[in-house]
Formats: sequence, structure tokens, C-alpha cells
Amino acid sequence: MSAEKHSPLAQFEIKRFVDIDIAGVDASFTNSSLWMIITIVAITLMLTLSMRGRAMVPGRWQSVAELSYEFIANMLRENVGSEGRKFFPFVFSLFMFILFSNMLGLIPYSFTSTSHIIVTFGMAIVVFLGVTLIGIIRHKGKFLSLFVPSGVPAVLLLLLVPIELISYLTRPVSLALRLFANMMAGHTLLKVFGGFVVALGMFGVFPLVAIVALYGLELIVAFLQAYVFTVLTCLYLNDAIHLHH
Amino acid sequence: MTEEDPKTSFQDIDARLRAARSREDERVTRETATAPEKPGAGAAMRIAVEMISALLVSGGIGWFLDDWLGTRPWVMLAMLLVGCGIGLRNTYRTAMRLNADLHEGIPSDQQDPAKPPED
Repeated sequence: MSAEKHSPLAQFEIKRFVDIDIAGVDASFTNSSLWMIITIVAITLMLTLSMRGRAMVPGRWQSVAELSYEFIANMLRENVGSEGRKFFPFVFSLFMFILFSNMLGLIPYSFTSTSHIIVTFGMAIVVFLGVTLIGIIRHKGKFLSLFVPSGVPAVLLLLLVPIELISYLTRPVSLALRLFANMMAGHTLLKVFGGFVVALGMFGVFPLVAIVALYGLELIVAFLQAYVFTVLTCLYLNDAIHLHH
Repeated sequence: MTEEDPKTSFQDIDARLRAARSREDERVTRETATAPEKPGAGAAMRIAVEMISALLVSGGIGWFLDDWLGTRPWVMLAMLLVGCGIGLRNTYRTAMRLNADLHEGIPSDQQDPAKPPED
């Protein structure tokens, strides 16, 4: 037990709080579920409380809310164009959820729900299926032209279309893997290095400074990965809406 | 104003609203396009993940085909090779796109001719 507790991977352990079993499907309430709920509550509280004043000159909290709105609105406008406005609620929720669970995960003794590949893959597959459906509904059969590179002789198409198809299928995997790998690697690294702070001597002062720097790096990664996930969602949305590859 | 048919005045407002919106869109796009602020860090990670995911997906497809056709392990091995190719191609594409993002200000004739069209 005590050896397990010190393992750098112990932080990713799923702990069941309430056992729930729905028709043979394990739907237990775990620490991951708890932190996802905390994430959503934190986002809702932050956005509703900060916008309650609705002042012309925003205060600190209101500017944070307005900045995050502007950030995503601009991202959609730049990458998708004006048709992207419709998808703002989805993209904004996605960004805020990933950002908040990455950031909350950096609080000591908390749990990072995005460090589990099933969570990130769940989000990635929703994005992938949603984007594909949007493309099919908008363009019907013409959607398939996404897999046909232009200006290629017909014989080569036999080879290139399956390749395009498979590389389209890699999108959800790479999307999920990137976020998961970054979060898991970062947290493991912090824990491993943290375990050496006292052992490295100098009363742990310099090693501690290094850990603080690493922690700052993790903060950047937490934001960056939320950004990358949403930007790629926007790019995929753009592909589905405008069909230029 | 009062004699005007309410329907046409609504249409008028709608048209004006649309025009104003697209003008605003253009203005904001112009303003933000002049100051691109794209984080360069994490680029290496993006590229490495492309390779791994291509291998995973094509290997997985091969695995299921093997199950279906009963030819373990041959289809999977072939698909892993194909996955290598796809991974390299995706990696190249991502790298080229990141490169293009970096050199956004440079006129297009000075950029790499192999750059794929904006995707």
C-alpha cells in the first residue's frame, strides 16, 4: 500500500465512490466523474457570477469571461469563417471543459480527468462524428470528394483514396492521444522529479526552484493543449463545411 | 415609416443587419490577421503524435481484417507498412502547415513550392 502510494502513476488511479451498474454497464461514480462535475460547476460559476454585473467597463472577472468568449469567437472566425458562428456554443464548451480540467488537475491532490485516454477519446470521437455528419448533411455525396486528391491520374486514385481515408480516420486518434499523452506525461514528470527534491541535497532549495519552473511549464502545456484541441476542431469543421482539403 | 409594409421593412432590417455583420467580420479578420499569435511550442508533440496515431489506426484496421479473413498476421503486417507511409505523409503535412503559419507574412512565391494548399 505505502509503496503504491509513492508511485508516480498512483495519481491516475480510478477510485470508485458509488458503484452503479446499469444493464451490465459499469457506470460507477468515480473520482474522475467527481472532478468532471467540479470542472463543469467551476466553469458555470465563473461565467455566470462574473457576468452578473454586466458593467460597461468590465472588472477583473468579467474581463476574463469576455476574453475567453472573444478568444474562441476569433478562433472560429479565422479558421471557419462566418458559418462557424453556429458552432460557437459547442467549441466554447469544449475549450472551457478541457482548459478547466487541465488547470484543476494541476492543483495538488486533485485528479486530472483529461489524463485518461477514454475521456479525451470520448471528446475526440464526438468531434469526429459530428464533423463528418455536418459534412455529409451539407454536401451529401460531394463530401466524398474530400478523399479524392485533385489532379491525380485515375490509376493512382486506387492507391491514394484508401490512404486519404485512413488518414482521415487517424484524426480522432491523434486528437485524443495528443491531449492524453501531454497531460499524463506532464503529471508523471512532476511527480517523479518531485520525489527527488529532498534527495538532491542543498536542503531541496534548488531542486524545488526547478520544480516550480517545471510547474510553470505545465501551466503553459495545460492551456496550449486546450488551445490545440479546439483549433484542430475548428480546422476539421472548416474541412467539412468548405471541403477544401 | 408608418405607411411602409411591415414585411419589407423587416427584410430591409435583415439585409442591413447581414451587411453590417459581414463588414464587422471582415474588419476583425483583417485586424487579427495582421497580428498572428500562434504558439510555436508543442509543435514537436503535434508532429510525433501524427506518426503514432497513423500506425495505431492502420495496424488496428489490419488486425480486424485479419480476424475477419483468418489471415493473421499478414494483413496487419502489410497495414503497418502502409501506416508508416501514411504517418510520414501526415507528419510532413503538419510540419509544412506549421511552417506556412510561421511564414505567413512572406509572399507565396518565396515559400516552399511543395507546400500543400491551405487545409
